Amino acid sequence: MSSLPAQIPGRRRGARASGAFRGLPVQGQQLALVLMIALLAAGFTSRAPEFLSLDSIENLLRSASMFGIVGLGMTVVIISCGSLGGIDLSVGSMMALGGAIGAGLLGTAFTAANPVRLPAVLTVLIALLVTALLGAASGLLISRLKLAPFAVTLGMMSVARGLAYLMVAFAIGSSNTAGVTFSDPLFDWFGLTNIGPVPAVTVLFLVLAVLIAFMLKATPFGRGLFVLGGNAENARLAGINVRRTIVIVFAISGLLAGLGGLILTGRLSSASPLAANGYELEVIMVAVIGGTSLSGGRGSILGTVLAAILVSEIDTGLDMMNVPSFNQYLIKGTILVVAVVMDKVYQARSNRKLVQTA
Amino acid sequence: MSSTAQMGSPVDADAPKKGRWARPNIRAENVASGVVLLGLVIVLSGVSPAFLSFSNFLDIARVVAITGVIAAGMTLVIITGGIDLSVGSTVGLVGAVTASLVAGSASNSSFVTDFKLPVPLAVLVGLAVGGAIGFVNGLIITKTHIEPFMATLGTMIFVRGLVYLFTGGYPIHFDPMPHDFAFIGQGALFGIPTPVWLFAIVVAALWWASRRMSVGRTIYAIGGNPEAARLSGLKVDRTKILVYTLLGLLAGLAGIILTSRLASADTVNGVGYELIAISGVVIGGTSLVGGRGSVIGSLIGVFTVGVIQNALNLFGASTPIQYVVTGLVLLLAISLDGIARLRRRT
Repeated sequence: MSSLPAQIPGRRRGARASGAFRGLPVQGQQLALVLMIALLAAGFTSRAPEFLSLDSIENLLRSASMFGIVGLGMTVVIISCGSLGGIDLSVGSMMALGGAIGAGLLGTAFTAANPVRLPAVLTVLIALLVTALLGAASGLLISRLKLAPFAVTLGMMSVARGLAYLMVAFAIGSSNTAGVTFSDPLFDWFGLTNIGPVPAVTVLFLVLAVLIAFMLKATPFGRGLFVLGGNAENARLAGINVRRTIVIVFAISGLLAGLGGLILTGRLSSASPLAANGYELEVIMVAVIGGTSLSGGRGSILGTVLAAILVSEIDTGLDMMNVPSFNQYLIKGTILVVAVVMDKVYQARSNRKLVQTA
Repeated sequence: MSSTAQMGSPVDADAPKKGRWARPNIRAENVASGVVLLGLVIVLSGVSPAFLSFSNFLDIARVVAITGVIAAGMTLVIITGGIDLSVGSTVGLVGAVTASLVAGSASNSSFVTDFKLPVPLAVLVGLAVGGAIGFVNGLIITKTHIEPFMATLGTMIFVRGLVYLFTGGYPIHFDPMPHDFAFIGQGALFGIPTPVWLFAIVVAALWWASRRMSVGRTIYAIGGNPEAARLSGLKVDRTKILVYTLLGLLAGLAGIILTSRLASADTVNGVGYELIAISGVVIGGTSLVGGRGSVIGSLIGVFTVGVIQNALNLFGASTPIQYVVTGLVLLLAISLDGIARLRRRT
């Protein structure tokens, strides 16, 4: 009781409030997301009927799966390290690097040099391993030297982008930015294959989402992430290995970013060192619109999945209506601010409820 | 990390002392970033004699001045515990608005009309636009309590949209550029380029304000512990709005210098500047948690970035190498800073 007043101004109580709702399948905020997705779909369809065509929906799902998979990693990072200003700015570059390694080491790449020729399964594994290790390196710096994740991942963003350039230059034997083009069945699976009516990557996305949601809610490690995000000191006192946890979390983010990069490469059938430039902001947007609090300790995987669909829907719909890119900027900026304000209102309300029940 | 840091230093252990003179801000962290810069300079001048010349130094300073002006203002924002991602977009918008008002500018955009102002007035309007964007940032952050990262991410995207809207996607050119306007980015006074003068004035003024004026102490106090600052009767919201407005204004100044220097205002001017400025501030030892750091540190930080870029250009390093080296130096500098801090705490 004595510690309660000190906590109410902060957002830590909100974290636990969502715990009270955890039994329900859908929270108010997620209902709002579903509603927005439906409203926008109706709006876009009325202006451009082809929005509801199979092609367009497939396209939307592929893009949502790519942003969503990277967004899952970002959600985990922000939930667990939010109180440290936790964020991963390197995901865009990691995507480029993952794609560059996956395609660059491939035996079927149509390139001049092509010094290494490996089967696709191996290149994909190497790509995921490298991005996970780089993520773990960020995590090590953050946890051992107590550095700000913002600064560390900013440095890593530059390093990974440079490595993506080097990888592509190595594969094609010259340092231009043309990129590696190739044809490979495994990458086709990432970029083209459908399972029934649904793109294969969407199935992959949903499986990963369920796995990570399970990890967050049902394993001691996952529940520890919420504690850590609320307050690092509490987590340490509760016996959580803070250092190891931070390393694992950033490794997960790196791994999922690498996977997102492989999907992007599969869709384009080419890996460019310039790929996914600025995607980190898009991915952060997905996590935050999904209800993950930037101050840590609160967030949901279902929210991230819905937000990935919403953001991709906005992209696809605006493109289809031929809205010029500068208006798209204005619309996206506005939506982001509205989402964050909604989050604030929601938090204020859950804090008030707690005060009343206390 | 934030909680333990605050436990160690009740309010603001690093805030300037009230002495007759502001104490020179020499601390372990500043030494770390200074050592990185000094080491770089020694190694580079050993490797390449072309590096250690006055004209090369002026080149570095001229390049650094534009992002340095932003970094100086960003330092104060970060010391209050905030961040501003919108500065790059402000650079673009202010550059475009100012250019459109300066005589001799022309573009296919419908906003670039025959309405022109004398150069000083056009510059003032530009700075006002920058200040207004910063003011709105400060207002959103203090009144709605949205995290500065998200609020300014929103304004960053929004203002970049305004740049596209204003320019219609066309660059604004000059034919010819008035001499007064060219002086801002391309001129020189006593052999030193104008941007370097402006940069020096900005750094000196902000250093003075942060170390010697009460508003400076308020800024450090807010970053150290906002609640304690508020309870001590400090005007937390007003000070925050002030530092964001100031940063918007300085980003506007950077936009004007850039436009004059490039002799065109393009829609992509200033993209990514926020990250360059933040890197400089962080390398200079300012903590992103707030309450710790200095404008002089940021000066060292932006010069470190500038020296690396310059050296990589001198040696003809390729783009990938530039990316990797810049990133590694950033990681090295903040790691040294981190180690220095851990040592001090134990």
